[in-house]
Amino acid sequence: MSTSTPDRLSGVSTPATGPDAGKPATARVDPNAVTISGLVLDPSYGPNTIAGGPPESLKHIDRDLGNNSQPGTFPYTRGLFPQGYRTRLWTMRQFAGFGSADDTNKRFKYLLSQAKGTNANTGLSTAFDLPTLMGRDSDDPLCVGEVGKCGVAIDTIEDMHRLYADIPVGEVTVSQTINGPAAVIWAMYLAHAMQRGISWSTLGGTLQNDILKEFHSQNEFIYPPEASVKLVVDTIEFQSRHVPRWNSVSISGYHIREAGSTATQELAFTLRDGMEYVEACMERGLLIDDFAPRLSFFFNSHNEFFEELCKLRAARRIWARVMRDRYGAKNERSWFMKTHVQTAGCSLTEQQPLNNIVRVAYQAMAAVLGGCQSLHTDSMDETLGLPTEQAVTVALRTQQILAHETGVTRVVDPLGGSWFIEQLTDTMEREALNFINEIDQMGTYADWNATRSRGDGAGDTLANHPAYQSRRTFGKSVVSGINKGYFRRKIAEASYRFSEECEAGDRIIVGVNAYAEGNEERPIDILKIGEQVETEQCERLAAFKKRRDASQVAKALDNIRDVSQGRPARHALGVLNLGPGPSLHATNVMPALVEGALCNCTLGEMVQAMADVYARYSGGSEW
Amino acid sequence: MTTSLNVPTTEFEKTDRCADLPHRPRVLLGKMGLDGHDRGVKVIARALRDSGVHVIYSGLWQTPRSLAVSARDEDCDVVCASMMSNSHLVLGPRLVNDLRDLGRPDIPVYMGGILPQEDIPKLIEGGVSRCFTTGVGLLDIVEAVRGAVKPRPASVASSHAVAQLARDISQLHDAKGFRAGAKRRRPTRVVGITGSPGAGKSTLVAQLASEFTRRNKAEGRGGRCAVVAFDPMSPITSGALLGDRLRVDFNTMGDSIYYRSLAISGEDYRALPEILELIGGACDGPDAFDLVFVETVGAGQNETRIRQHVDRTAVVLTPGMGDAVQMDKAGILEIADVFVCNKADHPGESDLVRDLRDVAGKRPIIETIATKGQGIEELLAAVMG
Ligand code: B12
Ligand SMILES: Nc1nc2c(ncn2[C@@H]2O[C@H](COP(=O)(O)OP(=O)(O)OP(=O)(O)O)[C@@H](O)[C@H]2O)c(=O)[nH]1
Ligand SMILES: [Mg+2]
Repeated sequence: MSTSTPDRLSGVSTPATGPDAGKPATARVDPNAVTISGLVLDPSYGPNTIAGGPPESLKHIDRDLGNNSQPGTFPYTRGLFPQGYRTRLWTMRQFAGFGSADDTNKRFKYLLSQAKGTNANTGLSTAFDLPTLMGRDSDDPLCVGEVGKCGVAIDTIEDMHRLYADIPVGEVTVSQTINGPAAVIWAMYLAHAMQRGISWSTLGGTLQNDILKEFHSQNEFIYPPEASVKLVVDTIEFQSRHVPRWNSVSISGYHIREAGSTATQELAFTLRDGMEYVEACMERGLLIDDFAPRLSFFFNSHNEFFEELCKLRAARRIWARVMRDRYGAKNERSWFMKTHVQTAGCSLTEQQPLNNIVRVAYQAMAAVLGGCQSLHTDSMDETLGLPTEQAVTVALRTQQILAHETGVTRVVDPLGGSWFIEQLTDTMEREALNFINEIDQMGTYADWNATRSRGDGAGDTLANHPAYQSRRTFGKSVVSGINKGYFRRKIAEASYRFSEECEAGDRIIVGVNAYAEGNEERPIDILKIGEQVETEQCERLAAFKKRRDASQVAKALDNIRDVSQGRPARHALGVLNLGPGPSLHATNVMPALVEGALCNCTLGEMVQAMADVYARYSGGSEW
Repeated sequence: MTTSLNVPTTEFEKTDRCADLPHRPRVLLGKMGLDGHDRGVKVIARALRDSGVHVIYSGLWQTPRSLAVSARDEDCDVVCASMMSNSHLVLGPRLVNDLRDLGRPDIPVYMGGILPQEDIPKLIEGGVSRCFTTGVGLLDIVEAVRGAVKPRPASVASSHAVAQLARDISQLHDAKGFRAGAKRRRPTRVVGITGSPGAGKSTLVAQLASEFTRRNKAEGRGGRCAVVAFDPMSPITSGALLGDRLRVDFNTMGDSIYYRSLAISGEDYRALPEILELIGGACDGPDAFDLVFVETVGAGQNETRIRQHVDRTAVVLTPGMGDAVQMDKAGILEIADVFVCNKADHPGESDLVRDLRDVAGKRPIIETIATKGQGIEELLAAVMG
């Protein structure tokens, strides 16, 4: 049946049928020169290999702007802090969650217990199950078979208490990896802290809360794009007024990459999503330096070692320039691109799963050489199911070995100054800026005059790229790109390209399309999650609903609908007192949601109350 | 100089890998449950299309029941369910049962994704035909789909009327003529929906169908509606991606609608009049399909042939097409009985309406926001009137 005859190891193929039958494919590039993101590399880099002179970063390092070459100085290509990991090691933050709140609580405690006695920072990151991620209660008919399978099932504030029982949430940073219903889950978390008597001012952690990438890649949107962005702005505003140590959004490229994008698309789309939130917040009237320091990022670390670490270097530089030059942020903290990194799940294989440990170790090393602030290492059983305790322990130990044994932490940005690294960083910056500019063109900016721009930065220094030129209004460019199917199309095309290259054998995947001897045996265990989790969770939920005060619930839901419609809440519930301080925008729904959680509304009920106003979004056209 | 390559280092060759089969394979790619992992299905969809397969995608978040309805209505050779979220042991066997209940126990279910080895015997026992795990090659998937294509008997095994209708349409579309004994009746009203790609035709059709169903139910009236949606077929491989169906929420619409996707080359609507008669004749009484919407391939400006097959033609335009309206007073604008100005939430919509007034004469101009269901009642009234 096969119509081409790929020689798996050399990657050379001769079409057997079709218009090019018999012709050797001469014009094609050598696959060995091409990164997994499609960058065609030179065999070596040096002062004479680059048209138009040395790479921009090297210019900085070699001569002018001597100070800019230092880690800890603008634009932070080489790192945010002059002493790098000597000041502070990255946080080892393993994403965890399965079954019931009690099961996950146990796993959290295990993870914390495995990191005692060193200077390593350990954080937690909560993985929710699909019903929770989609804002549905466990007893919803669409959730059959899904409860507790892909993460922990949370329906009520009571579940929240069980999930974080005995975890000192004022000391350990806790992330919530959730987006569509992020505002509701965060409200439940804040309400639970209130009931535990823990002050919001001590809470540290991150709400993923990045809805834009849901439309591009993860498919956990609930409301249409505009309404979804409004909710994110509500949480950012609330955070800036009431939960000062919390990271309000983790602007994520991880999912974009896992859905199949290239590294430069990941870089560009993620930063551009971040810019969309900044513009939306400025339109709300928030001062940039009040909220920007609490924006954080989340990138992927894939197999292509150098590309990955250059991506992080470029991300820091672009974000610093965008925040300072395009949006006028004054506070240095607003310029910081702080990032969590996760190794690439999609690079791991079901075949010969022990090999995954090695892949993860290289990817983790790239993330650390790229200067990440926090890191999740995938487990070797990634393609089999949620990680077993043994698998997650090896993954954590991989980070600990990296931190304590390899010495990579001693010197900041040790690869900085290499011809190759600096040129690759510049190339990725330029490509990303061109994407950002393309996305900008889809928006409408009141304060933007295209003729003011100075070209696409080609031949010029990248600092003059139009993507960096000042604009302070909300162009809704990303929302418009979503409506046009731009992001999904780009990502799906890149994903298919990668699959085509694997099929041809141009990309060797060890144990899959080469070196596949001995694949029959699977040497490791897998985590089983039984159907009783669903039954028990539904019973708990039914009992909870029976116990609560139904009239309070109804009133709290009325209030959520009112505020979502832009009207004042009609009922005074008297359960939340936000105290003095700058007031929130009248349409901010966060107070009503916190009250909803305190009045024992379920996740699904609060999400539905907003859906009554905004409607549910069923998805874009590209597939 | 580091450069960027926007094509694969080696392409997956676009070629008809199915020409030797008894008929062109029709595959339903399905996602059940709340699982949103769609990278894999998108890859499979492209690889199959590029091999000459007609690929129908269910969209995300289907129930086993809604997926089974789609498989039956589309007369698929195989359902390919991609399961990534560990709900396969619950949802897989349900899908098999629903296919049986709906009159198509013979459609094989292939399942792929994150399927632990020890679960595979359980899935097979539950009626799943074949299981595939991660890392399976594209040509292997094409080969597996080829293996599912069996000659189609004129009658389906069960006596289920809609399952039989689906088969009758397949036979006609393949130029195999009418089944002896097939009942024929032209439906009471046939409405063509045409307009450029992405104008919102499928979204409008989905909304119209659901509004029609809602109204009939509210007024205690019988009668169902059907949709025939055409998509273009690749001239090189004869493959096609049939994506209109995913605009309909089959989890709520279920059996109250019959929806059929077909790929054609160019504007070849030759078989349409007879397909319409089959739809009209398939069921009687309150179950009869009285109203049929036909969505055209969406080839653009000079796509006018649909007019001769339908009772009413609605031409869908979107803001930003004002220039086109002024330029093209003939062609597609001429065949319109109703103008739809969809995406009225986008800028430039008043300009479009103004430009349309110049050409519309007495013909109605309806402004809609299909995604929000706005203007649908008016549109339904206009195409029914
Ligand atoms: C990419 C990925 C994501 C991306 C998805 C992007 C997208 N739009 O698809 C992102 C980052 C968004 C994501 C999110 C989540 N993920 Co995820 N994800 C993966 C990952 C790493 C790879 C899947 C993939 O796309 N591979 C590449 C494609 C091309 O291959 P494929 O899907 O396997 O399909 C190929 C074959 O399997 C086969 N195939 C597939 N289906 C079928 C069907 C048939 C009939 C046939 C013939 C062949 C076939 O053909 C395809 C082409 O070769 C897997 C683990 C892994 N390595 O497999 C986890 C994994 C599936 N994810 C998992 C989880 C838990 C989640 C989350 C729930 C995490 C959370 N709690 O927040 C969310 C849920 C997202 C959602 N909306 O559903 C779990 C599922 C656990 C389980 N089954 O027990 C996995 C297994 C990882 C893990 N071990 O934890 N994920
Ligand atoms: N904002 C907005 N988007 C819409 C509207 N109607 C449709 N869309 C979106 O436009 C895109 C295309 O819609 P479809 O219904 O698939 O369009 P189509 O004309 O059937 O497209 P083809 O069949 O590919 O020619 C989808 O992302 C829809 O969600 C609308 O009124 N407003
Ligand atoms: Mg369509």
